[in-house]
Amino acid sequence: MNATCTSRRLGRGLMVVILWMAAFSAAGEEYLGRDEFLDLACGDSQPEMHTLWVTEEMRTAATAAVGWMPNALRLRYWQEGSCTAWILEDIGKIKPITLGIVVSGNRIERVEVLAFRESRGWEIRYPFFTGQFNGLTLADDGYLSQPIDGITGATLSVRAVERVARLALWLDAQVQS
Amino acid sequence: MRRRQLVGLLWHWHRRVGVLAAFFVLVLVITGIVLNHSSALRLDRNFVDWPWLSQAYGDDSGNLPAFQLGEHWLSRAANGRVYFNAREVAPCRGKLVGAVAAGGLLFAGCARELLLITDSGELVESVSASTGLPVPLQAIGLIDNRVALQASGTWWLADLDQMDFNQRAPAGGTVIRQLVPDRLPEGIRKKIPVPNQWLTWERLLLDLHSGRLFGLAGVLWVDGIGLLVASLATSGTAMWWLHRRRKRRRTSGD
Repeated sequence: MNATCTSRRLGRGLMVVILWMAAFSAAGEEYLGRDEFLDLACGDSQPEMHTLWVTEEMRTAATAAVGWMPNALRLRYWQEGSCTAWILEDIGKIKPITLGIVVSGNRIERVEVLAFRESRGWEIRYPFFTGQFNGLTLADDGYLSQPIDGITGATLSVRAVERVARLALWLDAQVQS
Repeated sequence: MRRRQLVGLLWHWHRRVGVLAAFFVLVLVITGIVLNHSSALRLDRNFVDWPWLSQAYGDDSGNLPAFQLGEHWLSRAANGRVYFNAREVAPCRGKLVGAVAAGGLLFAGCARELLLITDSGELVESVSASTGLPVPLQAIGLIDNRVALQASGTWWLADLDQMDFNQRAPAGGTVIRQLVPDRLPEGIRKKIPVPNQWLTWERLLLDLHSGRLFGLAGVLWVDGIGLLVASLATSGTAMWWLHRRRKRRRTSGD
């Protein structure tokens, strides 16, 4: 084997690496689709979709209780018995983060990051962070029943997940009652 | 492979890769050093006043394509928000590809989001890929008064009660009614706030440093340059080690 032949092989190898990186980058910002999330949501049974119409009173109450409410007249959620699944968005720093929250028996059962569009803070999608929410409830002051450990460099994303988790617990209480 | 051949191969590639990477490494070094001192240089407070560059970033504040639905106009401003006449409705991800009115609601289709709006301009719902929307949306139209969305070159019928977008539009002879974008009337355009200056020198340098200034291709190119620099470090170290070993052997031979 001569040097030119080896050079060609190295060149081809480099091209393969670059193409692999291109494919990896093109995988995008969406980690989990709606159907995949709902498959994980309420055990073996598939939850049914419902619509929650947001009245002005409800918006005022949510803002007083947990500090915010999305700017829409209706929200979709999925329910199976006492288990509800919510797909909600909140802004991290500049761009919205899409989160899936499963609530069962007034407690958070699962938090999943469906889409993350910011350039930093994507670590919030890992189970070491999302797992902290499991079992938490909404305290009387509108905050979560236990503090959440932050992630350095992802403070705003962490806050967004907390806000969405609090809202999901509050919304769950509304539809359950 | 013999050592001599290996050194020859390394030199062959080291020189070529070095020349290829040189310019881009210099750009990365200069932008990196300047960015390290961006606050001291006030780059985060000084704005780039090149309209053509703002347009390249998607700032079309001077030319807002809009869709007329009855007496109302839907448009998407440079701040990424959809406007109902001059009233701000909600952010909408991606370019506004179309709008239709059906069932008493208005539908604003952006490339990555679909907004449902009442005829008084209130946001009913925002639908995205995470809630089942096929993206990127290419167009929105009406088939027999049903909302139809085009994605990946295929028209899909939208069932917004069930949030189901999996039903293909009937093929052949189907009439799809679409609105042609028009220019927003001057009276409404003047009421939509023009975005403040937003393109700072820091942002421009950051985007140049990361390659984002040229989109995904630029990012991949910078990734490639990173790989080339890594290969230079490896080949340089290998040549140094081979040279050192040869020198030692010669010394011990003497």
